[in-house]
Amino acid sequence: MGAGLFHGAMKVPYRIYPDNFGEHLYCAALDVSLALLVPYSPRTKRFEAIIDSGATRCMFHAEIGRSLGLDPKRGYRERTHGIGGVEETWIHQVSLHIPGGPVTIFAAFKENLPIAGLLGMNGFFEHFNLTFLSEALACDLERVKST
Amino acid sequence: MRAYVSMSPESAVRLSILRTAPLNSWVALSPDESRIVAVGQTYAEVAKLSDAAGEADPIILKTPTQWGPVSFTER
Repeated sequence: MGAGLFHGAMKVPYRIYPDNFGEHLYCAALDVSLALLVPYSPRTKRFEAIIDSGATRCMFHAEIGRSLGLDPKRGYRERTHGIGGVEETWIHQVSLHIPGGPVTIFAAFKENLPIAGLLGMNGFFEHFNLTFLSEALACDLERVKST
Repeated sequence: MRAYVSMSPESAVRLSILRTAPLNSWVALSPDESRIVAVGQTYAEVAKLSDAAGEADPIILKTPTQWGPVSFTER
């Protein structure tokens, strides 16, 4: 599922992942890319980010920031309160390429994130009406905010 | 834990691939998610290896240290 332009709603199939018991789990995820806020700045390659309504803002692995030329720790330091405790993240303003066109967001970058990225309430959910369709193993995304 | 819904062929292929992917690594999948095109220890490495493998538009993901439910507290 690309991060290019689309019109109306799109159905995003859940992604399947192994679990610890020889079975599997499903998550809602989307392929996105990032770029610096510089004209003609190249995008990262597409990477898989988990759609997470429990995340206050979008968070990405620090290595993705470095691939853009960012020094993650030169951003604004933010202590993020998660289920497992307080984590240190670094905030940078970047362009997030999502269905319907790119948006400018304040994204958190974190070392040792176990996945490539999280798409949270600020920066992602604010741009969509999103419906989880449990029987279809998919979610419907409808872009409602362009920038 | 057992899933009670039937799995699509695409999901079955993806699941099989992910089970063979190294843990705690960066993995580049082909756009149709039918094969691994590159594996690396960093995002930059796997992006470079994808290009070298002739796949300019892969889907990159990071595998965790072990598969299972995630609450994003792993260090």
